Amino acid sequence: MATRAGRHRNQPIAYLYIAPAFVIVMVFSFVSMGLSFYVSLHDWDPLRGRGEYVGLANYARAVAEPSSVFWLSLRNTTTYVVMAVIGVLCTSLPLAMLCRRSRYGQALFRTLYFLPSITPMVVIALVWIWLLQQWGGLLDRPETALLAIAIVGVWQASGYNMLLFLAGLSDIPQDFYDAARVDGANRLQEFWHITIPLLRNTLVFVTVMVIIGAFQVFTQAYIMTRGGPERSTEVVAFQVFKNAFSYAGQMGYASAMAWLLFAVLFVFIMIQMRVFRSRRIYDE
Amino acid sequence: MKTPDNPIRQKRLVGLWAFVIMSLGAVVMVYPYAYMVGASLKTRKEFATDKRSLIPPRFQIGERLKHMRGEDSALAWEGADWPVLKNYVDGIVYGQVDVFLLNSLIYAGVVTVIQLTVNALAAYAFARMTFRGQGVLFSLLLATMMLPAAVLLVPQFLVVNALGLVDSFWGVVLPGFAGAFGVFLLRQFFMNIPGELEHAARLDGCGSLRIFWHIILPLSKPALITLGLFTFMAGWNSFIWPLVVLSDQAYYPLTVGLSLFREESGADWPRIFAASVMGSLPLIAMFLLAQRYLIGGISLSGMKAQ
Amino acid sequence: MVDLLERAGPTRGVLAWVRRSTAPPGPRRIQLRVWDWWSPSTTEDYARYFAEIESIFEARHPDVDVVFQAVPFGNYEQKLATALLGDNPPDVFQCSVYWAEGFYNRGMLRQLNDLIATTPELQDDQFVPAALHHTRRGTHVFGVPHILDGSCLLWNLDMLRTDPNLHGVFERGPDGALDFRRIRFDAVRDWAHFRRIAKQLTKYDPAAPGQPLLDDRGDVVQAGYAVNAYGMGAGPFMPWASTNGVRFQDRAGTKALFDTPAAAQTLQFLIDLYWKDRVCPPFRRELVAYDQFQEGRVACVLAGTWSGKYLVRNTQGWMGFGLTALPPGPNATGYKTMTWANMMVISSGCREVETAWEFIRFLCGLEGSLLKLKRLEQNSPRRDVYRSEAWDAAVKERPYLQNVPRICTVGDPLQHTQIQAVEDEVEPIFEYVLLNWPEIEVGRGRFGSVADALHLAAERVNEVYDRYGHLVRRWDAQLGRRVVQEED
Repeated sequence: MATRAGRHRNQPIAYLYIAPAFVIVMVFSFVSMGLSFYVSLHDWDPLRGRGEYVGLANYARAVAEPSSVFWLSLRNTTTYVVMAVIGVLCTSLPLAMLCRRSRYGQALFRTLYFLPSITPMVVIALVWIWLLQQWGGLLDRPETALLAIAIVGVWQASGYNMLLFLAGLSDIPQDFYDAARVDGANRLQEFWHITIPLLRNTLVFVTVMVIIGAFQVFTQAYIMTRGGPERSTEVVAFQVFKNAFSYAGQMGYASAMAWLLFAVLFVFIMIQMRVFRSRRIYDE
Repeated sequence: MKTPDNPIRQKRLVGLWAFVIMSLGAVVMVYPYAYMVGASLKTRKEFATDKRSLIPPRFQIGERLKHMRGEDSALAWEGADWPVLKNYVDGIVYGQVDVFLLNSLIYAGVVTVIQLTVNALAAYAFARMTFRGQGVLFSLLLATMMLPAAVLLVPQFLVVNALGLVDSFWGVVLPGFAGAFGVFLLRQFFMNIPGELEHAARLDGCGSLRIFWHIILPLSKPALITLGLFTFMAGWNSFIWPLVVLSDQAYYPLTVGLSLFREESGADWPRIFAASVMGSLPLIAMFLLAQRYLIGGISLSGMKAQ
Repeated sequence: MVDLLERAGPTRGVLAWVRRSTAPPGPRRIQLRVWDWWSPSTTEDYARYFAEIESIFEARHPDVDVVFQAVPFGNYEQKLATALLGDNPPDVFQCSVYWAEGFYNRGMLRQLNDLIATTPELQDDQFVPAALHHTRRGTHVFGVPHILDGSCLLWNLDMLRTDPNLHGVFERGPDGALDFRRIRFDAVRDWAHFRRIAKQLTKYDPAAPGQPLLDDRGDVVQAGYAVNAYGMGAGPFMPWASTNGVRFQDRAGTKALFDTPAAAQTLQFLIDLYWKDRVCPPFRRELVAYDQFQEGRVACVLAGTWSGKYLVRNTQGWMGFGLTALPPGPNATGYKTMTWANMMVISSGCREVETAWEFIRFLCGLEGSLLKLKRLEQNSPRRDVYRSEAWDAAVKERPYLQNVPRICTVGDPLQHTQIQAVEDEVEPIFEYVLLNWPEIEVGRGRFGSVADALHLAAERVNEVYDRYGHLVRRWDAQLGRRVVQEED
């Protein structure tokens, strides 16, 4: 519990303390979002400055136009997210459980599995181009290219998430398992009725974090596939990038797409905020 | 009818199986690194011909035997007699990898130092001082954590452009000078420091800044180190922002430099891998030295809610 | 160590400031920033070329410091825009026809009419007409032709030589004997002849009839022609389409013109080469057609007139090769291909226009062109180069150069409007058609026919043109530009 140093007078000097952080964070978050919303209502070329005011035309183009790549990219990105969540949950949780039970080398495993999380994604993408080519040429075919980059994403994230699950697992008191054992429960029942419920916070947290991160996937698409083959790995972040920086005069359209992406992510972010404030389940 | 040592033996068996499976998984984790290192030692011709092997052909026993028998072998290929680390040297001499590494170091270092300072000051104020509008301002700060990086890419560019900082050092680092997440974490930590020490110092007549410097900061070393390490790593690995904001290659960090090598026509893959190894090693070294902070820090950041 | 600090961006400024404040100010040096996508890492020839350019120019202009930066082709537009925004643009740079008009419309290039008017050696009459097409929009000139290139067929003459039936492709020397180092410009009579040659040069698998023979690594042993499916956009398609009388866009870039039966026929021809005649190696993403040619696995690929020097370097000169234009199709009017002249331009942010122009005069004049010929075997858009002794000597040493001027002359001008956005629309469609032809053939594909696919591609391209045209009209108004568009 926090102890405040007494409830005394207002300390205006505090404003000076928070000013640098506050200003910088505000400028590069809310202010910048506001500016980008303004831009999204116009035709905008960074070199030519503000163009014509077009109202919501950029949004309409992203959402309603039949040839809109936005929907395609959103579909691709959502597929990627689903694959990433399934992949992470199916690797990190079992790995964490195995790691806890492993007779030797737990510390070594924690280190080795964590390595990909501290390696730049660019490096990982470069290596996996060739690994994937050897193992079935998954990047070449439009049906499997998205799966291929999802594999790379899961590979990178599994170690970090394994550590999160390890922390969560170690929070579950052993007494619960002992009590269940006395009652005659087998492993599967233990897992289903004790581990999963008590891991709820971690599970939700990991899932939401993976979802938020996966929606922003960019580096694999940029380095490995450039959105191909046949647009199968065209993801939203890459579309935004191309429109903002590679095409002439489409920065307004790119801003509109970024706002739409934000709208989609907002839901998951709200969930995450709730988790941050949730109490431990067995205290309830 | 269970014999008394059965559960223990079962546990040991499970422990062994877990170890075996984890080891297999560890191979999957480590294999790409081995591939990267092996490829970085290959010559261009070796890589073009043999993309699979971990060991460069000219070092393989089979090839050496063939060479000794006088047959056609990998040792006759162009480059077989070059120095082993030629790709690394060439990367530095021709590819300016040393510039890229220095830039990565500068960006990550500057951002870390400044972010720690700025965040700590703000966190201290939120944790220890009372002032009007405190709650609202803090909620506002927290709210910015709702904005994910990809969404902020174009907006940040627009701001940096408006400030005239595109394609410059300040343009790269400025957005990273503060982070709501860091403020949040440090505030949690500061709130846990007992108030008596501070109280005593105030009675002695110390002002806020001295208290901050001499009492709070030293006690917060673990949190600061952990946060600093994470910030440094994130800065080192950052890719999209410098990619978007820079065009002068003298300012490229290593991540963007690697993408530059990748896009050049006539890409020299072994050299690319040598640069990749050089770019990954510093963080791996840092990680190995500071493991307990980093792995512990994950629990700190992940889950402990108040 | 200090050298490192000097080269790294963030520390460069600090070091310069330290120097300035501790040392007396020296003579002010003008820095001329030059960009190109030709990179020393592609071949050392570029490194030598740039070094020579730099030393000659700096010797003549001692107060100038030339600084090169190589920027990959695929990112050029983005990097240039970023540099202009950051107020550190290059002063002079090589500009591809892909971007030139777009850059000019966006206001990134300086108009050059006034400078050219005072420089006789860079005026229109000095250049081959094909080179001038892309350097202007209406009467606004923004570029000076720098190199002349065209798509062409690259042939492995050693392979052709092995089949006596194909010896008709070779030139005969003055004594009537076959010269196996030179291939005749009109070696291939038409598409059908091309198909026959490709089939004769493909080694088929005796065990699997109609399939090309693969080695144990899954690579083809010998194929007649390599088609790139990945990256098959307008770029690789148009040279063939031009031989069938197809054009991609109108001059002003407002309409797509490739939605025609002749274009469908061309795409079908390429599809059949892969799926029916089976003269091609299997499609694989990182396996580029050109690389396979270099390894000696393919007899012919679509390449460019610039490919020669890379081939010589990478094969250490042992491969005999030659270039020809593409053979006429059923609707043809003769040998055709696509040509273009990349140009040197001055950016609108350039602060040293005089120096920049001097540099361009050097590079694009006779002296610079001969240097390019010597160092890079690069053919020139200048007429006087082809009259020079250096050219004759180059052809003698590198026989493949002989056909190059004629290839560049017969070609149609390359399409050039918003090419990045256009390729992003066209490439997925063409890739799909090439990769999935068997499905389309039995009616299970996304398109009913090749013509449908082209129709969709043309629709998308027209959307890009509409959107872009709208923007251009506003920018013209904003910049007070009146452009009279010539029709052709």
